[in-house]
Amino acid sequence: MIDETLVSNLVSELRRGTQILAVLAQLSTGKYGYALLQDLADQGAPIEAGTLYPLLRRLETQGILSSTWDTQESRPRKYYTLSPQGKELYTRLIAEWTTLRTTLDRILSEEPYAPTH
Amino acid sequence: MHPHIERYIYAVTKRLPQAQREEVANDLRANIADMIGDTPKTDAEILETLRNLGHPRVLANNYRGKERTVVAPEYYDDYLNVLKVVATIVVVVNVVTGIISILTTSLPTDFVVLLETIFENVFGSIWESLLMAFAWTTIGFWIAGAVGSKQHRDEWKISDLPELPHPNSVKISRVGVAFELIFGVSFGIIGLILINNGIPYLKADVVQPFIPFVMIAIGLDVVVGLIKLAYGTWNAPVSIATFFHHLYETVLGVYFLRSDFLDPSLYQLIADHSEFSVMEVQNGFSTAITVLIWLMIIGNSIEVITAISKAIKVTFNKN
Repeated sequence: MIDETLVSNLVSELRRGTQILAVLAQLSTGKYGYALLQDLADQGAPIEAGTLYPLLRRLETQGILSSTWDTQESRPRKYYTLSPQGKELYTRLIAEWTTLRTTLDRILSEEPYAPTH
Repeated sequence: MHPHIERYIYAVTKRLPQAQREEVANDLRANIADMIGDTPKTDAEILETLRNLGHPRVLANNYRGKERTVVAPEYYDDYLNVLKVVATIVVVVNVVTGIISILTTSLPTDFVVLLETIFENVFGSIWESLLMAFAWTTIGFWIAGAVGSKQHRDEWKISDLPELPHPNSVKISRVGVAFELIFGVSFGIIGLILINNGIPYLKADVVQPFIPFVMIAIGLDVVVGLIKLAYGTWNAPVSIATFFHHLYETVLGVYFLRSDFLDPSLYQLIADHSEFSVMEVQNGFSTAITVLIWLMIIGNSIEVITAISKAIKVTFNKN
């Protein structure tokens, strides 16, 4: 029997690399943190709140996201959106992801334990 | 805003650099407010929301974004090795100085007080010294990690790599070396003190010139011990050092035993209290000394041969 902790560790490691791509994909239009959290969960790519909020802030300090505070509503919300630099990064990452997916698909289909489609 | 929330936010931001605190607090406050929603919530529900965000320490770490360690991870193995060697040296030095301080002070006659004194002298300062050594080693590595640039740390040459250990190499036990040092140095220094204070029935004018040579022997003990600790396995340098160490001790021992170090009044004293004549006692002593000389030569030769054979096994048995 395989150790379940090992499986979940590796799965979350696998997901971690793609999380940022999912986040960037959602931010072509402005979104606030909690809405983004729910959207990602709804689309089957859930991310921990304690991971997402710091990630958004880091991406902002790196100049990938820009943000504005909306104080019109009953409570203030910080809306994040891709900066021009972030859009460029997103395009590059998409290209990288496509290559990666093609490569891995090929490798995995040659693999004897590959699930039959 | 609910007091639980403010306390949670404070627990996160107090772990962050001053400059980030206010912004992170605002971010968090807005996000938590969204998570909680507009309908009034009980304390338990608010607590549940905060639990979803994780431990404040973890969240603060995520906000900070980079790992901070005292000892850079790539130095960690070296750090542990240095700590082990330093700890061994500290223990040896402490035990030796403890034993010496016991022997040079007048001891209490009460047995319990005596035990206490011995314990205090031998072990009293070990803990403190170990902490100091630990602190300084850590500070040293911290500085090395902070000063050495990332690029510098990543560069290496073939000559930086350690030699391949030979499959037949024999490890030197660190504890063994520690004991050798403790006994060697303690006995050496006890000997020195005794010689210096004068031993009954030994001729002071014959014995005292040996003091510098005994000092050299103690020094050799320490040097050879350090060489063994540094290499950790038997190899040519360790064997050569061991060889000269034993050679020196043998020569010194033989010289000492062959010097006319016994006061003739000892023979007289023994003769007076036994049925042997002075002549017989004197002959008995000279036989005993001859036996002692041979035992010493044989004993040291065995040690040297073992040391050399261990090194030869490593050097020439290249299979």
